[in-house]
Amino acid sequence: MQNAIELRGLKKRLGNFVLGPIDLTVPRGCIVGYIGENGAGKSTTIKLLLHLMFPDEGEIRLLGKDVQEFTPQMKKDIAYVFDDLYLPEDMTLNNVQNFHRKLYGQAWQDKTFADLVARFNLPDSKSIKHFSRGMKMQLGLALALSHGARLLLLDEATSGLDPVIRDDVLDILLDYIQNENHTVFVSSHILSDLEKVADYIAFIHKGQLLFMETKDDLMNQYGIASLSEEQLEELDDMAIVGKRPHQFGVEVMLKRELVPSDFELEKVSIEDIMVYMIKGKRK
Amino acid sequence: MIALMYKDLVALKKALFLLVIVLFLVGFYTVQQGKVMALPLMFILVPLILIGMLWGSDAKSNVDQYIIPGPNKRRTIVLSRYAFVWIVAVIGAVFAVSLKLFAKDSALPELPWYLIAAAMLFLATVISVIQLPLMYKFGAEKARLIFVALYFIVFAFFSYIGGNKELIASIIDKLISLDSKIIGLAIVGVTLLLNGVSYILSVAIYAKKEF
Repeated sequence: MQNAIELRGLKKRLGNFVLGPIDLTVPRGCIVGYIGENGAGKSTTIKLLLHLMFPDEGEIRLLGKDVQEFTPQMKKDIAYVFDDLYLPEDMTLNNVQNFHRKLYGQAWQDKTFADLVARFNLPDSKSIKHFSRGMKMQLGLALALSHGARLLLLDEATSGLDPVIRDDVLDILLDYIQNENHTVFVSSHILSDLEKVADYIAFIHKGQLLFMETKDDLMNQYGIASLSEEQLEELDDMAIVGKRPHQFGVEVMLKRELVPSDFELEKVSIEDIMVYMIKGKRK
Repeated sequence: MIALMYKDLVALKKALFLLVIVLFLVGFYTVQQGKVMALPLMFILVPLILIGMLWGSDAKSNVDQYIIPGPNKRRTIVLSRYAFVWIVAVIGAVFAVSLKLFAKDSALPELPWYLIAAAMLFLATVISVIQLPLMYKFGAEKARLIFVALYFIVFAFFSYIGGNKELIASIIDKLISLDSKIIGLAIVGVTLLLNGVSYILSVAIYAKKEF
């Protein structure tokens, strides 16, 4: 089965920042959460996937094809939502729909779009400059899901939205992924959202991909314990991913396989994994 | 490309409406003053105004980031911009020729229709096709600055050759002695060449641009 995304030795220099080399494979039919700090390289990766930027080295394949060889017809299989709706603000919803109808031709699905617009309760006569940020994002998502794309890329699309809208978006992503040929690659800071929907988590730090693993494996690999300094010293250094000192000792994130089995560890969240790993790297 | 042009027209609908009103007012004034020949000259300015407005609208909405990953080739996006200039130039040429054939205005120059059409196509596109690659390369603001510098160079050039009246008189004599059809063809040729080179340059610049 073809993979949805394949990155081989992908590298991009932007001033002092270097992204990669990144090797990443995203299988079809899953949701991948792409996480990392601000400036880690998440948006740069997505811009490279969308051919808005060009790699210095390496290869990018989407749905089995090299992005450099994408024709306009192939591009219809890729949908994207950014952190803002990059369309002229004087357009109304009807204008936007007409534009996309002309742009996507037969691939455009009027009914899907109308259903999503009704679900989001978006006004059709207001120009989009009067839309709230949430409404713009909802419109962006409705547009992305209305041309039969098989790969959906979201770049910080839900940041700054209220929990109700975010929850709605997550439901839609889960609906979308019911088709096994559909794949979602979503970069986000809101890790609790990813925890709800993602099958895989890919973690990028300072331009380097630290891991891409299934969410469940990841959360089973690590645990958190609150220890005294003495207890900490007894532990294998390799077991400690990161630590956070507090008044009574230190809270540490540990690799479960490297600590004694009777050691009591609490469950970790994705946010814990990200924070402890970054702090561990800064040590 | 139709989708891109539709997007541009919708984005500029208010500005275009104002532009049409201004054109009507200027048109009315020129007719009233008996200077109908000035009317087609407005089409020299319209592409420039349109390109400026489109650039402003695109920059404000960051629309390139949305349309490039969509089902468009980068060269089609550039073509949609040039298409506006060419459409206005053709309308201007048809308008000027119509005036020549039907207005019977004594103020109109005694030129054959094909020379008027060729001159209009050249005049309505020349500034825009110099400006467009500069805008793609440097952005609208820097391109305008470069253009101001170009105006000075052109001004200095004409000031220089303006001092040599004998040379100018001999060039004009030679041009007058030429067949007007050859002059018309030459103007069309230069116009096509300029537009072609400009479009190829813009496509090359835009193809390498990162967003």
